[in-house]
Amino acid sequence: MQQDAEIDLKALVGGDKRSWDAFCARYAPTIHAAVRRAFGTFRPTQDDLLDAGQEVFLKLCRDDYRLLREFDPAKAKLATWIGIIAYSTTVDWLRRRRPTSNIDDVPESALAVEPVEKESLTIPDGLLTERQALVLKMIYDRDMDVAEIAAVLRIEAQTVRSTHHKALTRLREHFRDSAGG
Amino acid sequence: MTEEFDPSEARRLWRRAAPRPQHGQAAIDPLDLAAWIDGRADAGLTARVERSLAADASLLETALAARAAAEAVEPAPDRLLVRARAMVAPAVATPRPAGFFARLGAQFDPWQRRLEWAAVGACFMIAASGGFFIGGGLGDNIAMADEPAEFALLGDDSTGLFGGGI
Repeated sequence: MQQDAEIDLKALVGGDKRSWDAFCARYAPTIHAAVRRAFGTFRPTQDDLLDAGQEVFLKLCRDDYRLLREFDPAKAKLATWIGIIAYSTTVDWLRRRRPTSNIDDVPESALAVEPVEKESLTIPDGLLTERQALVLKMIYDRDMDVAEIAAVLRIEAQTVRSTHHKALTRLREHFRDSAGG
Repeated sequence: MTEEFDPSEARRLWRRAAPRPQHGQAAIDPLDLAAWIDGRADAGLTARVERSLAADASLLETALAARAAAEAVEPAPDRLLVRARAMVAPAVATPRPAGFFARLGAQFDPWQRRLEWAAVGACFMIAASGGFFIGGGLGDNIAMADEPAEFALLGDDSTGLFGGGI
């Protein structure tokens, strides 16, 4: 993978055409991949993908490259940040394009609000650490396997397993105590 | 002691405990999220981001999508590249004047626009004053205004063509 350093951001935001062209060539695959993923289960046409990708590039050069000016290379890689911008821009773009329907035409079942489990509101803060909650979410809400989670969190697979186990032990004790008391 | 969990029990425990997005929860800045994905976040930021990720499924999806996209190797369609590149126009290069007098003139380039406006203004003044003098000037007009007899003949002629008996 090419390094971010190859793009002269200072020249780019100064209006240098060659830097912009190099930026486009370098990050078009990142933007395109993020756009495709944002479409998710929708079946986009090639034109949909192009329009959404174009929207991302437009956002990046809007207001005299305001977003790119705010980027700090000391904090993160440009490719990662571009991926976030591209994904969220496409989600917004899809939301705007979604056809609106008359509320009278929507079946009542579609308007139903998912009931909130009262039990979830009784969980005290700090019962799980942020990392434990995230590991459980990745396993049970997203069906990610241990190796994937380890890669995302940059930790050993064994650490993921032990974090998972400790978290479940805490939850079991908490619910056992609250049921008993 | 090591406790074992069967998957259905584990899932049930998580469903009961899963945090939900809270209103008023501080939004995560894209740069902070990128720092977390890249492993550059400090302990405080890591805790803040992970708390939000555990509570917000869409934020977690954004993070996972961005991580995957950053490592994408599949090329983008050429048409996207063409559209993106067309958004920024090349800077228009000013041609370098050829010849001695042209280069000399170029030295006065900042003055050129002012000189042009001055010339336009001068032409206007010449045309206006020329027209004024050809028309007899202000003095003749005043003199004409002081001759009531002739105008009276035209204006007050009760016996004239349109006066009197008609």
